[in-house]
Amino acid sequence: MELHSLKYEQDERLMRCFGNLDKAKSEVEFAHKKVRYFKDSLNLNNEFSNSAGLNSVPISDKSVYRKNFPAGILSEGSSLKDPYVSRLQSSGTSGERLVSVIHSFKLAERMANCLSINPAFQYLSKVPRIKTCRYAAPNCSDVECANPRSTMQDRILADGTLVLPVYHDLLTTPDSMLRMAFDELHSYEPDLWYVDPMHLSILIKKAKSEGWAFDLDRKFSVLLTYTFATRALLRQISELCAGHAPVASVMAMSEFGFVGLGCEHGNLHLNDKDYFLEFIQMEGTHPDDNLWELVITSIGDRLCPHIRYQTNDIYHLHGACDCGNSMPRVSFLGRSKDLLRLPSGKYITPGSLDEVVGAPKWIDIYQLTEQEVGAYIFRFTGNKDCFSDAEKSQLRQKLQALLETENVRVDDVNYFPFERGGKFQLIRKS
Amino acid sequence: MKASEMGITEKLSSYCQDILEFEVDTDISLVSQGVTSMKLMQLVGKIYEEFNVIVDITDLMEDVSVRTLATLLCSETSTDHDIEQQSAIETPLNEIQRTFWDMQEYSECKKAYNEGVSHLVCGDLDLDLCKQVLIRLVERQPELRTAYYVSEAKPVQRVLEMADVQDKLNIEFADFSGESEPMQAVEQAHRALYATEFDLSQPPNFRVAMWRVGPKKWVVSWVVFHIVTDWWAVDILRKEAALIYSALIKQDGREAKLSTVTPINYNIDCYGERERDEAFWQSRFEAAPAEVDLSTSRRPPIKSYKGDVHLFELTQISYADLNHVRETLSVTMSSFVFSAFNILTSAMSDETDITTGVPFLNRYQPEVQNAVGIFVNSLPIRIGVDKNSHVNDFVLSCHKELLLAYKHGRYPARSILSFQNIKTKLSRSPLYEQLFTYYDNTIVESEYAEFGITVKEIEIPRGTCKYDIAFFVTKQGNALHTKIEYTKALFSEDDITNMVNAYQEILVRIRESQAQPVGDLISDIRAQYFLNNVDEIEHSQSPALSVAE
Ligand SMILES: [Zn+2]
Repeated sequence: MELHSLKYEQDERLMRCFGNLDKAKSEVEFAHKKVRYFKDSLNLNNEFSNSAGLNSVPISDKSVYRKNFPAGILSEGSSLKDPYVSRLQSSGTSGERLVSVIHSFKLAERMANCLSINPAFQYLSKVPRIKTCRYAAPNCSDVECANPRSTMQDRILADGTLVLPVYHDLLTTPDSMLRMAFDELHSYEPDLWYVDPMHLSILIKKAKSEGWAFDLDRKFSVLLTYTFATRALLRQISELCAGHAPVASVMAMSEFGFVGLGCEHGNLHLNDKDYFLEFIQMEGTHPDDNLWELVITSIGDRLCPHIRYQTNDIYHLHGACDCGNSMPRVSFLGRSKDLLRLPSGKYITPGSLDEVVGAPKWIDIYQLTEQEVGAYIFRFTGNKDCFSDAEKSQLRQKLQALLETENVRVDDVNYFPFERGGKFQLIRKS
Repeated sequence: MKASEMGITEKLSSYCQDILEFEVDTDISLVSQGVTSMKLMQLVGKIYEEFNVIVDITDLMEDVSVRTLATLLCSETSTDHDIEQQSAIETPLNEIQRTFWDMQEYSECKKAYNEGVSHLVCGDLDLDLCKQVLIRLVERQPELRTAYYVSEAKPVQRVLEMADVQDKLNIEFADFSGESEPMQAVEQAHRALYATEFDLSQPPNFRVAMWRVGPKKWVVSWVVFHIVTDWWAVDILRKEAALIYSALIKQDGREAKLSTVTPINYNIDCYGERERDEAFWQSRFEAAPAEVDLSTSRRPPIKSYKGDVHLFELTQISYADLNHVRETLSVTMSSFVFSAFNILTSAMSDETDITTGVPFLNRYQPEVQNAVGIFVNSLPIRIGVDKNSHVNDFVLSCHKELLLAYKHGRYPARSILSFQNIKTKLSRSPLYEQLFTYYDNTIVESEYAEFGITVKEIEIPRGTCKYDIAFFVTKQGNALHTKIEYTKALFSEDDITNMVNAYQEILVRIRESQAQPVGDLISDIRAQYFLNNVDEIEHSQSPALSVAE
């Protein structure tokens, strides 16, 4: 629920807040009392108790949690050896890699509250023990999924999640490894496919061309995460799953677990029950740009509370959703550093780009690269049989309008470079 | 089951209700009742939130029941906590304490709220050691040396230093072993003990008496004004006394290993979600409850607290019998026997709007699990008896109402008295005049072989009664027993025997069929047992009934 009284300004930037402020304040007080880093750094003065929000509390970030791990950020009396302490590792290069610790029961609670956003996923709460298959870039998990000789047993995590084998460079994954992933996805009989949409689309495409048939009679659900689910990817996934398995995008962060889920209308809602959500107008933007940076305060985390944690993620905020869910409806646009800014000051977000590209049959995967300011290459792969020059030049015109320049190349390619760690960037700066 | 676990079980069941959205059987594995691991994790999270205790069920996922959770939780919560120096602080009484504070206005009532327990102790009891045990207990348990008084026009409490009370701690001793009927002498002394009017500002607000009734045979009685503690403490004190006594008798210089007890902060987080709870109780008492009269005798214009007590075994029915029925209806035993009690009261009073007091343990904070203190909140459970409903549905509706009330059980019953339509009278309590309680195996019989002592809890009449009727059902092995405390102005001993027989008949009839309309059962029971009473004056004889015990 949005706190209307809390639309205030932080450093002259607008701010909108969702969630239970009292609980957020107790979280801050708890951290101040029980967590060494916050004990030393927070000063809870009258301003804190009197203010309508958390404005007087400084914003924290990844570096706080990395530098003070573990003793400085764990609450007094708790330890990494306690029961239910799960460790989640962020992807990213080793220098900025972050280990987060969360009570697994908090993860369960957050997951349950997120699943409640979409009725099609409700049945999962009745599954005795949800079996998950994860299919995503290798860095996303702490098992050796990139080792082609690893066995299924090697890749089953403590919570029963099977991590499917993947190759560092998705598009050059050897056939044998794709087959292995396909087979395991069936033999493990997961209730949940927790996948990178790009990875799934590659597997779907391979299965189609080789004539491998997915078993769609078993009840399962698909949650898409890790990379931006473009309309083109969604088209391929829904061709497979429509009528068989519910598909939704999930917003998850290694620091928190589940943060939000796409509702039955395909709109992302963020969980404001387990988190206090502050959206701060992105620096240097106009309110009309509707670009908001998310800052999260955990609720009821007595192991490692996150206080006004800067996610660096940028969102659009939308009004109420037809689905009726009162959790805030947003679109995820990407990391703030990945946003492209045109000379005019306009921001190009994955969302705005994807709206222009749409989901024509001849595009399966695409990527926009900024070669230099004002010069762009749009690369795509897809079904060459559906391809038409007219459509291609139409797309080029739309991209020119979006990017405010004539200098846009549209290339049909067979390969895309992936970042280190196997991540795919929809918009790259070269 | 330990008393402390009962409260936690109650609470856990209500979490299960919230999270799992169905009623669970507390003794059966949650997983086998269809609870998913995600829900189980949410339950662990909820327990952590409420009790600040992580119950580790990783190794017993498949086997964990509400009962095992409660046991784990109790063993966790009994670890040491920091002592915060609070003893010098004067704090206001909370709503629950105020209930008992207010009783000082009427001494008969105040005396009726003396609580306690008696034991028959056989063996070589060392009286000097007993005195030392008492001192240690009072040292440990701040509530036992708390003074209650008025400060700046408000009732407050303050924990006194040990030095301020030590001289007043003693065990009252009498030797009745020479009497021809020593137990009669004990009864008399016991009544006198319960007639004590404590000066709450001068602790201790309890007395301990030891009466010798034979060679190596003692009756030990403890009486305490209710503001100090609820009956939960009996279990705590009994356990601690045994440990301290045992440590002292070994004389190896080692102290009994006991957790630290912190002075209770009665004014922190006592009432849960007050607004939500208040809304619930408002909805139940929008209209004043009907006055339920279980007796046909004229009610004295001023409520009488003179009472007596009777014990019966229900010989026509066993625990296993009822447990089977309860399982088919998927309700708890306490809900089951409570619904039968509602049928009984409806049959006795010819009333369909029945409000009954049911004690709710209300011990939430983990640090008070081992503390003497007052938390119990007797909830007015209002049942509308729909005579057309069938017994099984009626039982289920009673069960649901109980669970709902427990969910909102932190709301102090005293606050309900100030609701708009609730009127006070001198002749009766405003919400209910009958109290119902069900216990599992509470009668204690322990043997301490190492020092040759056996201890057995015994029931001795107090001469008082808080309500028209306080009806206790207890499970002892496979047998069910009842204990009835009753107001002598309203009931004769025969009336009570008749009432228990009717109750037993109701249980038998429900065991035989749960499909009959409640109304039929009520009319049958009324005709068979209670219409006679109306004619009693003419016939001037009570129905001949066989009495167990
Ligand atoms: Zn929606």
